[in-house]
Amino acid sequence: MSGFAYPNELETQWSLLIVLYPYITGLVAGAFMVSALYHVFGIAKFRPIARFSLVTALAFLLVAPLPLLLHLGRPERALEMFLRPNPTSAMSGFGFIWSFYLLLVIAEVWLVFRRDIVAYALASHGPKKLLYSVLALGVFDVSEHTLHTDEKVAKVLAFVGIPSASLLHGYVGFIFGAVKANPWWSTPLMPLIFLLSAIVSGMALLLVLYVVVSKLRRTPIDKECVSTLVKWLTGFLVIDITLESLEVLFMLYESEESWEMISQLITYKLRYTFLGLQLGLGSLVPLLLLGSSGLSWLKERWSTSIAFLAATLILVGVFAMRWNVVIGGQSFSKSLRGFLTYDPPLLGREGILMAGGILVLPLVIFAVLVYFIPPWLQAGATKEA
Amino acid sequence: MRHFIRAAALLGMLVLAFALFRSPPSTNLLAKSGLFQANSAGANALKWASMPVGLVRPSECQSCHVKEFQAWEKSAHSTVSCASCHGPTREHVESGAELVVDASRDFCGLCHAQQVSRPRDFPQVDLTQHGGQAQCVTCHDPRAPKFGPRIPHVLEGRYPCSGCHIPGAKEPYELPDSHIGRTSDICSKCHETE
Amino acid sequence: MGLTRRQFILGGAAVAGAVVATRALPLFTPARVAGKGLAQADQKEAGHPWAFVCDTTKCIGCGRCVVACKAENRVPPEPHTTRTWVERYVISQNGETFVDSPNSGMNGFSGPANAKYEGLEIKKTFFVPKLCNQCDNPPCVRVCPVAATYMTKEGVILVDQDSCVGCRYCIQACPYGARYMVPPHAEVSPTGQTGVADKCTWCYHRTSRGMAPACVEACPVGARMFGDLRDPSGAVSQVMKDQRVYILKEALGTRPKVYYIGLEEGVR
Repeated sequence: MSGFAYPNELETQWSLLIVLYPYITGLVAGAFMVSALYHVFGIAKFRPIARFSLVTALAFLLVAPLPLLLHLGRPERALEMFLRPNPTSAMSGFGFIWSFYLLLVIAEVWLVFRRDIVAYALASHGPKKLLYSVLALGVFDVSEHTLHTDEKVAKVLAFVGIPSASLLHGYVGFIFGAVKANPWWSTPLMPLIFLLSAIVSGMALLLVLYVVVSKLRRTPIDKECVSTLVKWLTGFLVIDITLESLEVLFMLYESEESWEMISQLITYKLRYTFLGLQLGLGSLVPLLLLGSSGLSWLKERWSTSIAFLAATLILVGVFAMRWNVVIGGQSFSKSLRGFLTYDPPLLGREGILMAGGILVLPLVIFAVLVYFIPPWLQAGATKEA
Repeated sequence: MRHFIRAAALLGMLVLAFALFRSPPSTNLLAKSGLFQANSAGANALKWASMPVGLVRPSECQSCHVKEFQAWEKSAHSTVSCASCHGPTREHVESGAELVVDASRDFCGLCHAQQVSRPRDFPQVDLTQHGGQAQCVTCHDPRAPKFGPRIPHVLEGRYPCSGCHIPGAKEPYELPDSHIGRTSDICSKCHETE
Repeated sequence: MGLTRRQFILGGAAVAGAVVATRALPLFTPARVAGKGLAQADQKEAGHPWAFVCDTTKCIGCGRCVVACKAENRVPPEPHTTRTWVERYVISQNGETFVDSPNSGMNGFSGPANAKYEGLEIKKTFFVPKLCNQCDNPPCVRVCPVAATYMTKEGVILVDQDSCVGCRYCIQACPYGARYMVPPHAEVSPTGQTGVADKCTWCYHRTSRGMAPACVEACPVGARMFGDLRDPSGAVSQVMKDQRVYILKEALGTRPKVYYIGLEEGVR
């Protein structure tokens, strides 16, 4: 601690795990948006990754409560969130929003993959047959009419899923943005900034995963899909950068009591993670890279590689953004007279190893999911649901 | 469409399970196992209000330590509760455990050491320049009505005080720098005979 | 497509509306499981008669208040877990302000930190006691996800430590740094619970029995006062009538009930 901080501020309250949580739900929201762009808005070029993105969203969604549970002082009381939620607390919304959205995503995955599930059920034997039959709810009707209805309902679910995903991630922005006690957090822009960076991170994740999985499977990368993803990613990134810059610009211009502290936070305490990673390497450099990946004279191999690099940097940059919000907001005293330092421990319930494990777990779940319901195979018919 | 019906039934069962989960029989069971507390705010406030009182008030000390209390009441330390110097006294009241007073210079200095942030009219002294290494209580009785060191001689025939106590004089006639300029008529404000 | 675009949008909007309505429903129904929330309306009716005064012109920074509080309330002894503390402000001639609170002021202020003020031309210096302000518009109560923190009818804000899940949102929401988390392996704790939030309760177990909080009793110079505003002859009522008092961070609208005599610019 340098300068002065209230004695109780010497302990950092929200740890690395709380940095992880909005990162994970952000990836979910972003991945889902891509799927929704295909299913609701009919952006046909996203077909190769439409089901892929749904499965990605589901894998990360299942892991979302884990960092929260591990962070609670009394995790065994977590059920109270369902039993006695406080309507004035945005945080109490988590249980309900997450549960609702989980059901929605599961329902949509089920509908979108149902034809495949039925086909696998009919074609397999033993325990696998049982599993697929249960997943199919014992119904093996895959007539054109039924599949058509499936498609329509899936579309409705995707439509409802857009505000739901926005709520799932936007409410986190509200949790921070509505804390008037913290001048680094308190802004009406926070839910929007969180949501926009979530969409950006989700799209970047899909790009990275799609390229990696295609390389692992040695299948060709659909260049139209990638370039469309790049275009949308660029658009959202521009809006995201604009909002994040607006927030700081307003603080600079209004020059409130806290500005002296905030300006030092940005230019000194968080100079590497904010100026360096979040803005620089994580936003502006990827923006340039994404722009240049669309240059017509570039070979496809190069443009994909540049886009891949940009997406990876964005993933790092959005993580830095979560860090800068959560940890950054706790890096200065509310007395506006001092700085505080947070060094995450390596071990322990809220340590770096645990955080790494939580980030790897969705990829493991993803691998399991694509083993049972590979999104790229179309068992049976010629059209994807 | 059968799959929709089955899916809807599944969903219905989930919703029902959730409703049951939130119902009183379920919450009572959870409360018993410690996973949920159904206490109302009123009950919890009562719990806080019934916590045991620790700090002993001087009026409680009075019942046994009458003489000390009477002296203390009239002294300059009457605003200082007994526990502040004599330590947490609850155990002493309940079981007669001995109380040890820290009579060191540092302890008195917690309040009375000269500090620039302290109000100027608060009695404080530079402990590095005052009284050598002796315990403060050697000259200053914490329960005396006046806080200056006690006068170890009779006053008759010795007025004015400044006849012997002049700046630069050696012990026991020394006069602290802070006293320079003071007239003899105000000495008795802080100093009394033993 | 079997559905027309209009049917689709209307259907989708209906579903979305239903989702929002069910989410918003708790706002309109009493929090029957917790039994809280609505009680706030009764409290405002009753008025909040208790108030606290800190006189910064009297405080000598001896730290007896902090010691008494830790003993009285079984507060964990670590420096980052405190219900009350004392801050020292040193304002130099050229307008710089230095603030410190070594070990919350528990051992007084005559430690090594004094060295940094040597050679400094001091314009003004004083002590400021701090504690929970028991705000009438408490941000901590608003953000608790399980309604574990609440306001009593006297206006004191308490934490139901049997319900607190330890999410730390209330600690973040408090602008004054008044709250802390009872460490998981704490040797002592106010209610025996660990991993829960805690804060100054104005010694509710004393004040509800007509006594003063421990810090008020322990203060040797009367820099802390507690009282019932309905008693016109009480010390607090007298101060509120005769002296100019101010509150911390007024602009945040928390409506604190700890009033300060002698607050200076830059004291937050």
